[in-house]
Parts: sequence; structure tokens; C-alpha cells
Amino acid sequence: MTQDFGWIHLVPLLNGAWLTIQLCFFSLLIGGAIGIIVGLGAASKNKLANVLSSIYIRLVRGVPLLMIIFLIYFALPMLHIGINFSKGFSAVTALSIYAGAYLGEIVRGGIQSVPKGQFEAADALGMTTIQKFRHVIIPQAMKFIIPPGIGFFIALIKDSSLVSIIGYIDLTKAGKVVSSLTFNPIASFLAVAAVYFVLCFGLSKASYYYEKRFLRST
Amino acid sequence: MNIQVKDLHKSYGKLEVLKGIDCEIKEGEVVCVIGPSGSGKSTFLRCLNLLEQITSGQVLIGQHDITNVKTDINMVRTEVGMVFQQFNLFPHKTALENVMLAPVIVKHESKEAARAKALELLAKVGLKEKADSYPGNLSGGQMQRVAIARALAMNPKIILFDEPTSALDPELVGEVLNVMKDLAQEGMTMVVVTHEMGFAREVADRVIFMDQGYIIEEGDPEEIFRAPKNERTQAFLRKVI
Repeated sequence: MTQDFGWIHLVPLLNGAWLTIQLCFFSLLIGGAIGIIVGLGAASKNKLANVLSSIYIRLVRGVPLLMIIFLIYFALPMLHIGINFSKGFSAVTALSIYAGAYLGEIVRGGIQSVPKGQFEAADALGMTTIQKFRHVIIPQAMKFIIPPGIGFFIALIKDSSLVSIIGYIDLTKAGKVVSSLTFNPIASFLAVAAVYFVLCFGLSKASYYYEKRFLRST
Repeated sequence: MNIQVKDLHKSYGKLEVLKGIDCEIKEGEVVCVIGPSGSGKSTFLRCLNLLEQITSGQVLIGQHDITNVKTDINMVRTEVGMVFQQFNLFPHKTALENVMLAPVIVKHESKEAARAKALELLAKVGLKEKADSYPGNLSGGQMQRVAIARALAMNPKIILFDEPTSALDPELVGEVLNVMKDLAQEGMTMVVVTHEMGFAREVADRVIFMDQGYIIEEGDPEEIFRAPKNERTQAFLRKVI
């Protein structure tokens, strides 16, 4: 019982797209939090924080995202320590771990792009480390963090298609379902590609306006 | 507030930059530190507020032994202002915000009080009309005057100047030196690392000549400039004057 590819099939695709957006949004939030911690650690003079952060960044960046997804979804439950993640939870966890490492590297780079004199000026005024970062360093680091951060987020949306392999019904998986319903892989995956394109192109346009508006002016 | 330095050593790895500095700077005194580049004079200055870790020796700022790890260095730093060669203004904040920031967040002054004092200080350095300008729109001399106002906003007992005019165009040096001269006349304790020999001669109470990590000679500016005793001082002054 096959169906012809039609407008009706946009419904599962858009549902999948919505799940992809949610997945990436939460992964960006959690990964961003990890990234800030890891980035501050990697930029800090504290040896322990520095080593731990660097290990995390290098380890995660040296492993394919698909392996992280497999390890979380398949391997962790096999340890029999009561960890058995749902597909959605596994997907968010894997992408967050992945995003945390890349965003951590971006945050580290942003902090280290702030001239040394800014740190010294804040120190000389008697600021604590937290005051220094909050009022002096982070506001200046943001212009080095936001553009590559958005670039990474765009890449994350595309990379997130890998979670379809564990059966999470994201945009890609929805495309596979539609394709097998209609026996029309060309139309199905062209539609999927078009939705990814709209998401990513829209974001990169938004980032372009953001940069023009806020970053060039100061 | 006075400064006492006892047998101060500073090394970067195997390279020893300060090889045992002893000196005392009295309250209200203006001391200019001169010497060839690489003599350790900037490092010496930066040890006085612990921007550089001290390898060994003792530095007392008033009663506070900043070489003791138990001393709250941030508390001491609120009393010791610093003015940098490269100004180091916060580029994302206006001149006014630069001056207000530390009093508000470090000393918990009210914003209104800090703003009023900041405007007063900007007027003092002749930049009241530039209060809302960002550092990027100011000249080097204006930036350095804002930086001096920023240091003054903390009501420091001592101000350290690290080659404050070395990054300025020659025609802008005077406006910064004039502000510093006013401060000296008001009785501020100042330690000034400088290449401005005219300023040192006119304003300093005492001149310290450093070379290769040692204090070679120190004394009254007239004596140092007119009749330096040490031959290294003589050689240096021959070159720069």
C-alpha cells in the first residue's frame, strides 16, 4: 500500500523538523553551559581545571559524534547500572556532550582573545575573579564567541541528523519514514534537505545581521 | 601610606630580572624610576601590586605584607592605583563607566555617588565633555587621562605609573604630564616609571636609577641629573639627555 508523495507528507516532516529544533535547542543550552565551564577551565591558570577541561575537549573532539550517540544509547544500558535512556534523552545527552567540547573551545578562544592588559586593569582595581570576568572579560569575549558559536549551532543542526540512527524521529528519520511510505526517496529527501536548508540559512542570515548590527559598531 | 621593599627578587624561569631590590617610598613622596629598557623597572613596579608574582623578598604596602599569602591582595589593590602604558581602558564602556565601574562593584558605592565623583574626576583631568565617549573615540592622551581618573576614583593612597606617556604621540605627552604634576602637588604618593627626564627632574622628590635588575643609584633629582656618581648612570644619562 504505497502513497504518492504529496503535501500531506509535509506534516510528518515538519513534526520531525520541530523535534530537530527542540533537540538542537536543548543541546545548545546544556552544551553551552558545559562549554562555558569547560572554556573557563581551559583558559584558567588553575592547573587541575586546565587539565580536566583540556582532556574533555580533546577526547570529545577526537571521537565521531556517531560513537558518542552509540555509547550513550547502547553501551551505557549494558553496564547494568540502572542507566537506560530514552531515545530523546540519549540524543540530547550525546549532542550536549559533543556541543560542550566545541563550545568550550570557542569560549576558551574568546577569553584568550581579550588582551592581557584588560585582565591586569581589572586586577589592579581590586576586582575579584568573578567581578573581572562578569564585568570586563566576558562582555569583550562575546564578540569573539557569538559568531563562531552560531556557526557551530548551524553545524550542530546538520550533525543532529545522526540521531535518526538510534530511531529518534527527527527530521531525517521522518524523511526516511516518508520515503518508505511513498517509495519516492528523491522527493522525500529533497524535502528534508530543503527544510534543513531553510533552518540553517535562516540562522546564518540572522547571525550576519547580528554581527553587522552589534559587533561592528563598537 | 608608605612602601617598603626588602631584598626583592623576581625570576622568569632561569632569567633573574630583579636581583635584590631594597627601597622605601614615603607617604606623599613622588619617586621616578629611570633606566634603560630591560633594567627591570617595570617589573619592579608591577611587583608592588602583585601583577607579577614575587619570587622572594618582602613588599610592605603600609601595614600590609603583600608577599604573605594570607593578605587579601584585592583589598590592598583598592588602595594602590595603577596607570598603564597602553591605558587598558575597558573598550565596551564609556569614559564615565570606566571611571565608575570599580567604585560601584568593588567598593559597593551607590551608582549616583560614583557617577557624581566620576564626573568630578573627569572634569579634573579636563575631559568632562568626553564622559559619554567610548575609548575608541578618544585620543591617546585623552585615554590616559581617563585612565588616571579611573585610578583616582578608588581614592587610592598610592598610584603606580608604568611608562604612562611612552605610547603617546609627542604632542599629547604634555597634557598627561600636567595631570600627573597636579597630582604630585596635591601630595599623592606616586611611583613613576618613565623616560620623561624633564618630568623626573622637575616633579620627582627622588629619582631611582635601575640597571640589570639592581638599583644602581638613587637620590635627589638635581644631584642625579647634574652629577651622577655611578658611571652606568652617567652613561645612561649621556644617551638620553
